[in-house]
Amino acid sequence: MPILVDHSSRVIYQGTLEEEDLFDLQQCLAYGTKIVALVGEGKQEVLGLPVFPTVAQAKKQTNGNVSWIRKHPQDIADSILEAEDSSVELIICMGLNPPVHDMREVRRILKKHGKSRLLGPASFGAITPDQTKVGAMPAYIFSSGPVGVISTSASLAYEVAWQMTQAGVGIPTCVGTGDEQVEEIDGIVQLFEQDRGTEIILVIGHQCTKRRKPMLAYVQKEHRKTVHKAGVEAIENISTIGEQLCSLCAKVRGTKYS
Amino acid sequence: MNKVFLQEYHAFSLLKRFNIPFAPYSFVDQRCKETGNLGIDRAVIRAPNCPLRIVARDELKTLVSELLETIASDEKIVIIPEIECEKRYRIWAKCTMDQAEIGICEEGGKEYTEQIAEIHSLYPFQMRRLLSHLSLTTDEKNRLKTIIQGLERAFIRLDAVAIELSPVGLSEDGLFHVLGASMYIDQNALFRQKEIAYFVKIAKKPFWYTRLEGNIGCMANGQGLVEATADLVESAGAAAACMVSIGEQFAEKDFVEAFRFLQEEKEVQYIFINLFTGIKSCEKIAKWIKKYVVKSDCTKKVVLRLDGTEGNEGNRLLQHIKPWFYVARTCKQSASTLKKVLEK
Repeated sequence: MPILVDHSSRVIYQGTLEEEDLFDLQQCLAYGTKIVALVGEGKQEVLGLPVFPTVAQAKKQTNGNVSWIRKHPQDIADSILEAEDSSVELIICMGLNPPVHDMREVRRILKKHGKSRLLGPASFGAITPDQTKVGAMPAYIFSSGPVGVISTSASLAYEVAWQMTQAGVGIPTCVGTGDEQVEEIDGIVQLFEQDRGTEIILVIGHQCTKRRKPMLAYVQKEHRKTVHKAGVEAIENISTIGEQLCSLCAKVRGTKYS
Repeated sequence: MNKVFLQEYHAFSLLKRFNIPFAPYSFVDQRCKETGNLGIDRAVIRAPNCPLRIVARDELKTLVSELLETIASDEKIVIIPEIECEKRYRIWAKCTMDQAEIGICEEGGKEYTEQIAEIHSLYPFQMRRLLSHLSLTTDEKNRLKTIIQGLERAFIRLDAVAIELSPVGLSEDGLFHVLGASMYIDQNALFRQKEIAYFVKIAKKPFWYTRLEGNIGCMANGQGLVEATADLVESAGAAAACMVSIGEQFAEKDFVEAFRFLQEEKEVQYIFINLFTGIKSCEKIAKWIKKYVVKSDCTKKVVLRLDGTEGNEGNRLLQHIKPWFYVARTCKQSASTLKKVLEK
């Protein structure tokens, strides 16, 4: 079962509209993602989608529930708060390098109001195979299955997903989180735990994530499902992670776990 | 989090605007070699990349001229009179993406911290609680409170990720003198800190880099993948000389610069590039690589693994472009190709 994004997700794109952005939007539309509106100025329609000046108007007109933010560092905090102000449920921020104090304030407000969930900044997006994708990931590498994936690293997640697909193990949803965001990862682990279709939760971090250790300790202590920690410390050879997960799946299915 | 270190003389000039009571310091640089008459017996000398020195007045001039030889033309030496202090403190403010704290401790004593809940400052009760740990008179506490408030303002206004005032001396007359400061600024906020951006030196390389001890230069488009790539090298029976990550949203010049860097590194004998792309199409990347590799007179053997968006098209373009350039499609294939190349 998918979490966060599925076929019913209605995406509002708040971002720049350069050549690469349009390419990614087209790829998402081709995959079946319901991108319902764009937010920007100066245009009324892009790729056949309506463009609204504000998120509030876009939400009112199209009933969007996911915001996809891809902006320059100076505009990221404002865009997140605009989406939060319009009560968009899920905000996926793919923008990179916002100032730290901006993000601290954004997180404080989000926590206080509790209206929206934020993935990012620096998230690579989220994909539920065969249903919807929000982000620039290559879609063919993902397939449906029981291993929920949470990753702070885009390229490593792609590598793992592709090997999993080749080994015959799929993903209910693959979620990209921002770097060093323990709370964010914790929230997603909880969602996967509540999902009956998810048998294994794979958390992918990298060595440079300073808070990876506390995150893993927390996941192992607080969460009951089998948690396999991927990343360079836990797996000796990345080239066989798909096969490792395949055998882990078989093991989990053959073993009782609470 | 990307942060940039500010030299002490920059920190002094910036923090002074926030009513931080620095001891009466003076700067000396290549243009102004006069140490001035500070009316002091002993002085504390702080020069970029040098340990702190304390000297008597008659040695001051000699030491300063020696130090001036070691610093760059745009750098400065800070001279502060040595002030006799009853107590010395360390006060700091630092933050991460989701929290910030103000801390204080007496020299050699326990550290006390308070989280900054709102963006601007500590709540009054937090300030009271923080100061209550120190054995100071009410007047002294009020003076220290002013310093902490100045620090808080500077922390936010200057987009700092860490500021430390140390040591902060308390003299016999009950006054505080800040004798040293260090500061890290959020590199992501330099677009709105024009003054700081002007004098800050940022590493110009557009990639993340870590040196290791082997002979294979690893490059990937993401830190996670490059670390996994270094593991892959190990599984092929070799060791990585360095890890270079160009990030997921890299441009042609980033790739070329990172590639050239690996070609020029003495320790790197082989190059292993592992790219799994999402945002960038493999076809586009393959064109960049081909353009560069065809021109290049590289003598190092290169193993490239390229996959992701439009992976087939990308790989097709890169077949047999140079005898020293090997292409693989999967992680496993690339590891075995690397192994073969190493055995040749």
